[in-house]
Amino acid sequence: MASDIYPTSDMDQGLSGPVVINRPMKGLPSLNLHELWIYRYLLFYIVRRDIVVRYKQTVFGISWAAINPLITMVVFSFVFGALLNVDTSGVPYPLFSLAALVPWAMFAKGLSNSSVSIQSNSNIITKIYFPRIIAPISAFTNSFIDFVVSLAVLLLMILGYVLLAPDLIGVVPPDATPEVIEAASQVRIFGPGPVAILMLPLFILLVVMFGLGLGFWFSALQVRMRDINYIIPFVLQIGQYVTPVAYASNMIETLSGAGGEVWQFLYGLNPMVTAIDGFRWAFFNLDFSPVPTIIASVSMCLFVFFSGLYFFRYSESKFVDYL
Amino acid sequence: MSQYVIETHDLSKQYRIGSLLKPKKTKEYLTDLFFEPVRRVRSTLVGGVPTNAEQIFWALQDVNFAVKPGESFGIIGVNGSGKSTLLKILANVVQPTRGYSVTRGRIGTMLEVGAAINPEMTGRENIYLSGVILGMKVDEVEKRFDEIVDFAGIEAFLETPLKRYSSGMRMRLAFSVAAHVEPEIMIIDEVLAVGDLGFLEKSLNKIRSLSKNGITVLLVSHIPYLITDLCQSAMWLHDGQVKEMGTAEGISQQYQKYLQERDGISDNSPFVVAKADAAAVTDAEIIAEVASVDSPSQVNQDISQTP
Repeated sequence: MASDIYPTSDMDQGLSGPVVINRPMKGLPSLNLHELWIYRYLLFYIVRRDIVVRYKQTVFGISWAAINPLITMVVFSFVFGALLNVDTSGVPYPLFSLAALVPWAMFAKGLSNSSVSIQSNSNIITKIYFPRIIAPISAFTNSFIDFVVSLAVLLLMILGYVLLAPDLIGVVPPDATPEVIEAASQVRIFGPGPVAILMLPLFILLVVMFGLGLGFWFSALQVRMRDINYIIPFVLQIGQYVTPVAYASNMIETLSGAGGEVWQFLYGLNPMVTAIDGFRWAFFNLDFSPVPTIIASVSMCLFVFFSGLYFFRYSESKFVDYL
Repeated sequence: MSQYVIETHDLSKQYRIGSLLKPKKTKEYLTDLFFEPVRRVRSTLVGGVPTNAEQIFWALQDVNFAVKPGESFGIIGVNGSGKSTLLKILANVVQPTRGYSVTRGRIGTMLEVGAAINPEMTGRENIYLSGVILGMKVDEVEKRFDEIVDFAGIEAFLETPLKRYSSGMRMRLAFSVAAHVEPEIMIIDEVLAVGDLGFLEKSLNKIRSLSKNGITVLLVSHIPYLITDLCQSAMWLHDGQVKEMGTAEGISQQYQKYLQERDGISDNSPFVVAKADAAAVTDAEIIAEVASVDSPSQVNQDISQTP
């Protein structure tokens, strides 16, 4: 809100809450992020509520978080892997696509949930004050929890390949012939070593910040323009094509030819490109995005996140008038 | 700083009614397929300017009042007089168009209790969830958990999802949580028309004990009896403006007289119980009677009254 909330001063000792001045907003809003800390329990309980409600009376419960990307993986493996024979630089297609589907599912679910989060929490938003930004954040946190579950499944899949078909993913047996070693040299599971594990949180952060930033924008706009409800499916559908979920990002490089760096930059304006390249690099030692792509992705991500945060804060004082 | 817990200064809230558009001709429906979205996007980004003054509606206009710590303050007025808008501004949910309000300390709200509960979750989970949503810390909910359960009378159903509760049980749970927040300021909006008579009586006693414990109570109602019974001072809102302010008893009587004149209600109507010797009947019976008579007829009258 644009209201000023002061912590209790010496004059107000003994109060269990702050002094609140509610007045029309003038000028630029302050981000007031410390408020989030004060309301952390609320965030926790809203996240918990959404998880409990989502999986109540389901047979599979939270396993759905893993089943979804797994089913898509099977379909993709058939269409893009077996039929179209997409070049994966030697990585088995199921692993190749699952490594992208896991972060993509977090982004897609998080974005579509957080975009309607103000409306879906309208029964409490119109009656009780709390920092409204908790609504999109809790919606995204939910998909983050699903992500953690599906990430574990991805690791299990990799482990399965290591145990059952090591030659397919570049785990070289001690008695290997030179040909096998040669074939395995490109794909090495966790090829970059410990660096990969350290970098993975950065790629996850890229997805979270970009998805949440878009979620801030969409949820604030959705209060006034319910058109957002109809736009989101398109955004996600088109998004999945411009993101290397089913294919490898280096296919863009081969397309671009002359002026390749400009194309790489434009392609990178979708931060999911760098994030997914990052996942595949960390797990399978595939080529990481070229520098122009990385620069575009990181700056786009930061721009969307901070502008979204600011736009949300700017619009939230009028939410209840439109709900 | 000042000695007031709640203050408002020229508090005003403007709403826009209807759309920005004039009535349409058939041809315009087609052109609007294109222009309407453009107009809407523009008004969303730039901020829509109402095209004429009739489309502006002031829900509140220059409301000034202040409440001292520990005081019980009543707000009375017909439906649509701006009571709920005022409470929403004080609860920091709605932003005023002009003027400002100051509140000191934690605010507990009983605005349509039950907003915070979730039908899929169990009684126990709901007590925690709505407690935290209403502003309690987790350890405070823990500390008062037994009290809350006891007050609501739902011990046997703690592990049952709320959708299996009767509507009365649901409301009892919601009210009970809201009543145990122990804020500095308690805002109560027409919540007393729920529950059976016994629970109503219990709720009124709870509100009395809140105010005895030094909690500032802001009670909104269109039932004069409740204002006289529970408040010391009161304010009469009419068309978004303060019509009268004074002692709870004085305001209730004035308001009652106004209602009687407006609606031609005779002296033996339940509206009049505030004046009558009500010692023989319980609070709950009076309110139940008043509420059942009052609500439907008043809604109709307010609609027909709107200019």
